[in-house]
Amino acid sequence: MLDRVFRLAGRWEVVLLELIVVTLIAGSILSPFFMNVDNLLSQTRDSMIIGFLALGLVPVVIMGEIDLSGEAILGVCAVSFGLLHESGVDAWLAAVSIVILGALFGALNGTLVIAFGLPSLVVTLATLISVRGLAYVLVEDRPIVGFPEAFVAIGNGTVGSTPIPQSLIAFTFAAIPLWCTLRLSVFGRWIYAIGSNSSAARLSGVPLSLVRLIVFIFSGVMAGCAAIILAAHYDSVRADAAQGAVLSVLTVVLLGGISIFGGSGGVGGAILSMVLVGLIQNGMRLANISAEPQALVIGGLLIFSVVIPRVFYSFHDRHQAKNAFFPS
Amino acid sequence: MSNLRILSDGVAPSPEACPAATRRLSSFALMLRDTREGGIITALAIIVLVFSLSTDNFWSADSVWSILNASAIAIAVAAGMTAVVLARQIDLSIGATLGIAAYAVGALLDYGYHPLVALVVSIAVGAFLGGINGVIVAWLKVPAIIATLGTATIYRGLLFIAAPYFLGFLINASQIPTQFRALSRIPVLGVPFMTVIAGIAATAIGLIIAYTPWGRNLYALGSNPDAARFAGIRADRTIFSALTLVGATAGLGGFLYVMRYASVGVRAGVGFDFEVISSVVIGGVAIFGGAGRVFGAVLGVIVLNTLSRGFVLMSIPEFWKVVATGAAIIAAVTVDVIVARRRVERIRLSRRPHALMEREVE
Repeated sequence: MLDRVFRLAGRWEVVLLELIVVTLIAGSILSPFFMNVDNLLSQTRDSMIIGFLALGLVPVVIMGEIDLSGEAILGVCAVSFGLLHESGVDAWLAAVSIVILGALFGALNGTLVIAFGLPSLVVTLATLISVRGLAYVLVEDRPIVGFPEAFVAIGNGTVGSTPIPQSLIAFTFAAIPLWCTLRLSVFGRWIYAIGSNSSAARLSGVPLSLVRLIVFIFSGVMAGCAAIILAAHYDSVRADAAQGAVLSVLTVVLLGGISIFGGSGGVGGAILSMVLVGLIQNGMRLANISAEPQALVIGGLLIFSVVIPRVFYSFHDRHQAKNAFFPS
Repeated sequence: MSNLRILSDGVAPSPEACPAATRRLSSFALMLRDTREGGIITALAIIVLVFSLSTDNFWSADSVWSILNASAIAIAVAAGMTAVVLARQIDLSIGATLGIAAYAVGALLDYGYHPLVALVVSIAVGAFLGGINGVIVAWLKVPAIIATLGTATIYRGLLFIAAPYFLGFLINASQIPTQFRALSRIPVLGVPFMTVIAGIAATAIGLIIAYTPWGRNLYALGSNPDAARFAGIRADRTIFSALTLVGATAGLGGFLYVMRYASVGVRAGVGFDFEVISSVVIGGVAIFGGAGRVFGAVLGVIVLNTLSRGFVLMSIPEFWKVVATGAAIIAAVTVDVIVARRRVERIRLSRRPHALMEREVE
């Protein structure tokens, strides 16, 4: 029994939960506005953009690849949405088209990785640079504002008279299928298999290229969804939308216990760490800390999120190794 | 030379079969095809050709001067970055390091210190910050991309926090001595002084990488980290020193930054990481390590700045340059992969002559 409690307490998700509780307590001591329901809900709305990008990145990192280009794809999708809206296209139709646009950019990443065997780090670094450039080419420095009210509600409205934000519902509708796919489907197991050992996966008949392509397309689709949320939330789009978000997104994913080397972690951890990072950012905003020192804290978290599990598991492994040699 | 012979389909042109001029030309063509810098030289030639045909004043002395002037900072840092990329690492924090070093230089000059003191301090600051990256990557075993993305924000955040205690968020031109500002405009044989400094640094680093055991270790680690470790190469020390080196060059870059712009904001060097990494990759340094030269990386810098200059002359918006840069990276890496595959194939065939015959039968 005690053994099971310890094992549960050692799980990364539980550690994250504890950290969330600590942050909540610390935040409510430091500021009376922190535990306010309105504050927490507005923070939830802010987190959704990062949340969608992180959801897209989760399967990519589990697969042992990386996608840095999410924020840039978001940028170009958001800008295209603005342009479509300006030219009189219906907002909902425009929303669907930018999700397709996101999928196309994801497919571009995937194709370059698969067809030429290029490292995803370089491909997505290049698309991060050039796709963001494309967003600037499309609208330069001009903001596009004034979307229909019903559309803006996605980013700011609530469901009926309840305080639940609409964007949270949208996020749930994306997160649950992803969770199911990763945990319950063969396809999800393939993703883990590729991340653990891609040659072994190939030899055991996993359609490597197909899985990779679909996962990169999914990442692009999520970036497109994040663009919808962003456009609705701010009721305006600009070429620099979510520029620099790659830091928060990577932090959320890696802090969520998803190994950068692939093959482990899941959606649950990523969502918990999204909550944690959101709370920390919210607390810092309430404390009037400006953007760059805030980024400093997130950057520190990013490094720690890689170092801590390593230290954690190296003790764990050493313990196990000792037991293997000297069975008690 | 024996290498080249294997690479040219196993058939060396016999010396007496062709006249000297053709031979020289064909050996130049072979060089373009078989060295890693061939692609970038060809690209530079095409770019220059296109711009000189499509604009009137591309060949003015002013143009060359401005390209060299704009390239200086990136040349210095790209040389250091080559060492890092060769060892299969990457550094995304050089922009922030450059910002801190540049701020330090600006502050020291304002306090009345000699520029040489500022130079030494800037390099030391850069090396120190690079060393922190090195410790995190080499001994804490955090992948370089994660570690340096994190430290980039940490360094930048620290600069924002510290700046109000020194000279505020912006050190402007009136706080920098005029003699120092004039330095950058001194021509040395038609080359801006700051480009000369950067060139000396890049040459030194290029020679170190090419001719010292340390440089060989970088190539070994980049080609096959496991094999390098079994051969007794201390991976952690080598990676640590490479990251320290790129930090030091970013420090030098900070010094040159003040020389060029004569003012430093806390945002100095934002986006500079991508510029340098793009140049290095476009210049034929394999992003997964083990191949490439400082010479290529420097050419990469010059190509990007030539492109930039040409776009200005043709009044194409600056944003297009960013798109072109990304596309160039993908093109460079793709060509690299394809060429490497062919090379392996060719070597395989040349070692098994009957395989060559089989292919001919097919």
